[in-house]
Amino acid sequence: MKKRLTVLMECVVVLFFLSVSSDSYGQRPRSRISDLTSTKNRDSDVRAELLFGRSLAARILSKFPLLENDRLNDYVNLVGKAISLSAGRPEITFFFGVVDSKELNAYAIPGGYVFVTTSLIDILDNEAQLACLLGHEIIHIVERHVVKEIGIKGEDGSAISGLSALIGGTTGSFTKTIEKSLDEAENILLRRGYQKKDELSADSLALTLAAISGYDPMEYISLLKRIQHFEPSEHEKEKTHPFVKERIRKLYDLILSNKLERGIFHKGEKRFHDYTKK
Amino acid sequence: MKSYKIFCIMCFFMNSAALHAEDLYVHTLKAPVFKTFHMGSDKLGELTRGEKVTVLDDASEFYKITFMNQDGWIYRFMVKKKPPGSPISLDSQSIRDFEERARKRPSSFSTTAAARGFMSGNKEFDGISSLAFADLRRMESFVKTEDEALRFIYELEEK
Repeated sequence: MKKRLTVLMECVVVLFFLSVSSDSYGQRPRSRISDLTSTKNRDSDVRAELLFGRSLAARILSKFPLLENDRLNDYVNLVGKAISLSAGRPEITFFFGVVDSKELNAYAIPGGYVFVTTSLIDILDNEAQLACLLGHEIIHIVERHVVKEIGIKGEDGSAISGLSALIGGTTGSFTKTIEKSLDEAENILLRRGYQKKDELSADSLALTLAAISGYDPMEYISLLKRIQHFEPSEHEKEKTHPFVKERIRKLYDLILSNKLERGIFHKGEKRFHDYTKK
Repeated sequence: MKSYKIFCIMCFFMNSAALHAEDLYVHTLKAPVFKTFHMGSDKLGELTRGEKVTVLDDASEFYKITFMNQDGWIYRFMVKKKPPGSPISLDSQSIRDFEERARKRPSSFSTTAAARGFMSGNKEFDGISSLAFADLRRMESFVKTEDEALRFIYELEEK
């Protein structure tokens, strides 16, 4: 009896350790979606994302024209590219454009297209704030927030492979399905906004990108305060930039927990004013 | 009982090794390695894209790795299970086909595009206007290389 009990206990222990050791970092709840889907991303899926993103980007440009200021567009591309070096997704090339609009906003399009409005650039103080802003949009693309939100699913359940099947099916003409997906994506970008968890995730990662690139992370908080200050009405504040107080608090927590308040960082004020002065 | 205890201890150590000794690859151009799991801690050095790291432990948003014969911490976001891919771009034929289809399909932007100077009914824009795609190509022409971006960052630090 005693021997049987011993053998039984040994079996239970072995089974326990076998089940636990089958876990890996990619399957833990805290791991990022991009880690889980990275094994499923194929070249064709990225091309599908690029095609979809180009079409959506063209829609945005139909609404807001690209600013006829090559020097400013050049500068924004330099800041954006510098930040994107720390973002991952090397298979994506990021493009940045300044669009003429009274809205205080920026738009992140799948495939790597980022738009910033002239009104938003006008209220910025320095390059660090621009870097934080672009970093935030880059993270929305890196983490595929819009694609996942649209809910295009392939046979294996991943959002990206569904997009590939969708794009591949349009021989000869656009289908209603593509238009519907573009409408949904446009709705997220211009009207509804991202999910709160995606906004908070983009904030924390963007702050990391900024700090690693040498930009003062405290300027992210200054950026959010300025946007809040310059929004024309309380209604607009809530519509386009909801829960700002919570975002600021979480950013403060992140800065303090990483002891970043003691670091040596740059604001890039002079260079910003050199490029943005009218 | 003694053999049972030894057996349990062996299982524990085997499990610990299996849990943490996972290989990951750097996906960012450069990935700083910190002394502790805070971004504000001293930097030990940096890894470059494609380098393989073996994870020893994790804390907060960081993985613990071995770097130059000592323990270091790397930001989770910068590493993935598979090696990084090369930049992917669209071939010009795919781009032309897609733009052509987009222009032929009327969309809710038809009226908005009209505000940019086109008369309604002008067959140059049904769907997304040619002007929008011209703007898109202009936007794409501003793209920067990694070297240009790195020089840009170094200039920031020098000022």
